Amino acid sequence: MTSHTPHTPLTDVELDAALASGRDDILPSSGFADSVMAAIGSDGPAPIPFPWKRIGPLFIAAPVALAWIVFALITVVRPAFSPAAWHAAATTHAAPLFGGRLDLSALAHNTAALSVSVVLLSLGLAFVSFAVTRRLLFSP
Amino acid sequence: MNPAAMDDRAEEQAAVARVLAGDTAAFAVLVRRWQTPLVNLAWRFFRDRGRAEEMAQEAFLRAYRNLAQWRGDAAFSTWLFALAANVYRTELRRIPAAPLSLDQIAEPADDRLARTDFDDAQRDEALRRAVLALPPKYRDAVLLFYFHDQDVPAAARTLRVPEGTLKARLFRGRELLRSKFSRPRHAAQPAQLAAHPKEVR
Repeated sequence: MTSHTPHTPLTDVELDAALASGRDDILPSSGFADSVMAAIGSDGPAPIPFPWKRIGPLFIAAPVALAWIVFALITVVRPAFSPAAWHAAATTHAAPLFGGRLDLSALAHNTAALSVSVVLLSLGLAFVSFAVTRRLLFSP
Repeated sequence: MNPAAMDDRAEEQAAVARVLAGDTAAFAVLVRRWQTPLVNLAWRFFRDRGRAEEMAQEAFLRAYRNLAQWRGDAAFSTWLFALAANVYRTELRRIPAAPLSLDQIAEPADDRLARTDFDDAQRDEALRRAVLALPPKYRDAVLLFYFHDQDVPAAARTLRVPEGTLKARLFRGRELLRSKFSRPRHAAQPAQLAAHPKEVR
């Protein structure tokens, strides 16, 4: 700056006056809204929101079902690996698997219960899936 | 909230619901209501009418695509301004509006110019352009503070920062502008000098 006169900074009043809203506002050109709507028209329908409220219960039910399946599998398989089963396998003519530590007869006995459980669970899930789909399609 | 504002809000909610139900034309209600503020906000960011309208249109398109994200708990304008400001700031990062630094902003070379040629209107326009040369966080705070009629909470909501943060940025931004745009001491008005320069409303 080449001036020799002491200068003072602008005050807030001057700053506010210069930058205040409305001082140099502009109006959109006359075709602005139409051009926006034309762009939107070529963009297709607005994406619909994901139905979290309706689908939410499924997100809760899925981990519960998974935990149940894991629990059922453990319940069925664990007896086959029990010390009693090892002993039984060692004293029978059953083919010794895993070094005689797996009792196939115990496993087969529990598999029937597991099969029933899996069938029931599958039917339940199919029913829930059908009900949710029906609700999404036909609810207002 | 006054009855007119409640009516406006209900009308906006109805328009949004219709758009989300597939009635694209209902978005025109929102465009007509908010086109002037959105274009003016863009104008403050870009100081270029063509670019301002182009970016305002982009903001409306973005709003249309993300309409489902507006939950209705906040005012539609709050959501829309925040979205638009984000669009404009992103665009400014891509292509700056004013490829000038604060040091390059013109200022009066001597006192005679300060009192004559460099008149108030020119100084004000230079000030508005100088805002764009501020560091982005100060620039955004100053732009939105004045866009929202010096309403700190509204500007903070649009920028999605705490009010204290906005005030600090605003103070620093105004300090930078003040330091750049000084005037001869003898031209100062007593009333203006009495103002508190550090006060942020």
